[in-house]
Amino acid sequence: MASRRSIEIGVGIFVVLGLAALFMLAMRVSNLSSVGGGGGYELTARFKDIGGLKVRSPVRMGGVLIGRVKRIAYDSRRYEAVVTLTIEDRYRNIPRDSHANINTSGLLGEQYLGIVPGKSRDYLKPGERILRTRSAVVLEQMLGKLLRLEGSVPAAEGYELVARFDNIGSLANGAPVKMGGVRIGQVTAIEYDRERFEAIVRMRIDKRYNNIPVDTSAKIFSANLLGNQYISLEPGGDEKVLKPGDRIRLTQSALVLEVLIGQMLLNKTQEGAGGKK
Amino acid sequence: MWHEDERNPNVTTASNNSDSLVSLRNVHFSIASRRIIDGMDIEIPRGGVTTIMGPSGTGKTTLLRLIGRQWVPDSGQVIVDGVDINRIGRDELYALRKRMGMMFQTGALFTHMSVFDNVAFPLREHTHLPERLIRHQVLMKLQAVGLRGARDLMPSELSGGMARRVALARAIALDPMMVMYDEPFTGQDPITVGVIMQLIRMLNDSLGLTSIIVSHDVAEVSAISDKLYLVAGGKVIDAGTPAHMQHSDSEWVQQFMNARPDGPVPFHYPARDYAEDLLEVAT
Amino acid sequence: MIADRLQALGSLVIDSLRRFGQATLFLMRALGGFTDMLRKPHLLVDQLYSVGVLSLAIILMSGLSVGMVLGLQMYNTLVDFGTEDSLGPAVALSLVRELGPVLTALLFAGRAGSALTAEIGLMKATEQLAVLEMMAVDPLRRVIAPRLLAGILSMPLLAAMFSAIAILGSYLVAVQMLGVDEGAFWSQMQAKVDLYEDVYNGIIKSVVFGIVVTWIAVFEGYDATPTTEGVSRATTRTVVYSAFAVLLLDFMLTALMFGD
Ligand SMILES: Nc1ncnc2c1ncn2[C@@H]1O[C@H](COP(=O)(O)OP(=O)(O)O)[C@@H](O)[C@H]1O
Ligand SMILES: [Mg+2]
Repeated sequence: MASRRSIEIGVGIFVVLGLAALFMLAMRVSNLSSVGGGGGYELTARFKDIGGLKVRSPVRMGGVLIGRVKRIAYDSRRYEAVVTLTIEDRYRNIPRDSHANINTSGLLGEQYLGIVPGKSRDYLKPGERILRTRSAVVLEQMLGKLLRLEGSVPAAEGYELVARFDNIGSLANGAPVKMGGVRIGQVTAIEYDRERFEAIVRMRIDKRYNNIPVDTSAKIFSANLLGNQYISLEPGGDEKVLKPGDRIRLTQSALVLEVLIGQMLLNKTQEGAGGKK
Repeated sequence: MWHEDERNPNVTTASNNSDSLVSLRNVHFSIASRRIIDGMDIEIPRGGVTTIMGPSGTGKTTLLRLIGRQWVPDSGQVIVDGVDINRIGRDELYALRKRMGMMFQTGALFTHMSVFDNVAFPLREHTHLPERLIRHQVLMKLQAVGLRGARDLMPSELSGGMARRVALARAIALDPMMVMYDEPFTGQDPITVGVIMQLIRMLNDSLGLTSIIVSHDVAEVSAISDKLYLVAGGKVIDAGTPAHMQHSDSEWVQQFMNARPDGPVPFHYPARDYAEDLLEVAT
Repeated sequence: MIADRLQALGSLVIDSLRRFGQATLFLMRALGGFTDMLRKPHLLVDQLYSVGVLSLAIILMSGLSVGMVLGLQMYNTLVDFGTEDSLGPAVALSLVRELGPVLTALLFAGRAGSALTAEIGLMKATEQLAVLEMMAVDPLRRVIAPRLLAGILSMPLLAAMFSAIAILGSYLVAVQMLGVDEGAFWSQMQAKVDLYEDVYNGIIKSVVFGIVVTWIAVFEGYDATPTTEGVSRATTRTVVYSAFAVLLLDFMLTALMFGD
């Protein structure tokens, strides 16, 4: 065994290193100086929808972390979420007419509560409520819009087809074109034929899929209840295949969900808003 | 006085009116349903050297363990210094053990400590002596066993005989009221055997100790013993002074005292017939 | 047949319960010896050396390499989403909450736990524990208690060192080699890692692991059959039981601490 002295030195170094590591975890990795359990004062705010806000989510003003969400409760009489915030004591001067918004940092980032200061010289006191709030924007909606613009099939790599529909529902530029569930192309342009009162949809199909039969039908479907709409191609049995620029003759328009639901509620057994062309 | 917590008054008052320091009364003990000790009565006289002899494997070490309450008998009493050692609490037991030294058969030295520290260990644990006095004590005990020069060696550097002498020095470090020596002569050269015998006798007389020796070296031991016990098969065969034992007419005693290979004491561990064993065909 | 099986199962349960009971009594008596260390601090210092200091090298080396690998792997995943700025918090959270305490406990069981079991088992086999008993020195207070306390104190320190050096390792890889923004690395980390919720709970975890792993190690040693195979089996049991206990407890503690 090592000598007494080297044992003691070793243990001394061990303890110092251990405490230094703990210190680093406290000061550098986490943030000891920011609000935790200790100081700060509380404010509340009410929202219709808090989205993904959680206890301990940051509260920022001008992007600076000034506090954290302490508690989230639900007021089941007024159908509102009641959010309690802890704000650091140094930020005592939040104007009474400030806004509290639920924002998202980055596309995939966490949600936080952003405070946009108002102009009032009258400041919120501990325990008071921020009256002006804006609920969370449901990110999926925004994302859906953004994604539709991205990920397009390169123009040179495909050929174009056309289809006409009575009603395209919420089909948008960039929406996917699928066959058997597999994405084979996308919608490139949507026009309205004022004379025939039909929508003209142009789509670009990946050139790998150049064997689509002429008697293929095109239907507008929804990915799910809230999801985006897309065009589904259901291949026919003809030997002849569609050539670039051809038109798909068999189409089925979008089923407008609201109309469907309305009909179901009224217990009518009419056919849906779509029809075969 | 060195001892941190003093003798229990109950223990001392009860003790002084008996001339036996240790008594075993009708003790039975078994390990895993094998009877090791089968009804023994032993009286260790105060102030004397008592030797327990017997063939190896008969439970001599076990007896010492029972006296120190490392093990507890199935039935019977073990009385040490007037108290039934199996009926006292931990604190009383520890107070008593501080006054019992024991030299283990294997030495059982602390392998991470030097010879010096091994002998100093009980002093450092149980006394508040300054280091200077501890050193004095330790060197004295090591001198007695002839190993003062080996004080800085580690136990791994000692021979079996040397280790047992260090263990002896450690057993007497606290100047206890009684010392149990488990096979102190095994593995020692003849000179050392003589020295240790003298040492045991001398310590016993000058410090007023009571000594219990477990041994099978008949000739040497009977010279320094006041009383001999011969045990075999879990029972006491005979007991008495060395002279009595030499002239005992018991076959057992004669066989053992004179080291005859044949006699009532079996050399073999119980087994079935040898020839039968050899002829057995593996099934 | 079925009765035999049931009996075997029953005796297994009873045996396990009895052993657990013994281990608990054993722990209680050893805990009673913690006060002795105030009077004899060198007992603790010696054990901190063999339990803590001697484990330092393996903990630091493993921590560094785990951190570097984490940095690299997370970078490769996050960069596809353009979110490599959250590499800092991702690495730090997984280390502080889970990997630090758990990996340290597993390494500790292999390095220090097995050594403790073997040492105590051999002390038993060579009658050193019996000698202590006969010298009126309680082995549970003199031998077990300092080792137990040293294990309990060392584990959180080692886990903190593991996490700290792993975070530095991921910093080296992500910031210095792969070009993640240094400011984002640290500031996102600070924003996301909470002292109480994450660091503090991680330390509590490692204290619990320290108690359990060291307890298993010293009990297995003390309870070992005092023979060569007995000690070797006990050593194996220490590592296996510790690993199971750590993984199971980690799950339970995580559910308690972070599940809401
Ligand atoms: N720990 C133990 N477990 C099982 N059996 C033991 C144990 N210790 C001793 N024995 C048995 O007890 C008997 C007596 O042992 P012991 O007292 O050591 O004999 P000896 O007279 O040689 O000192 C032996 O037959 C041995 O097999
Ligand atoms: Mg023996």
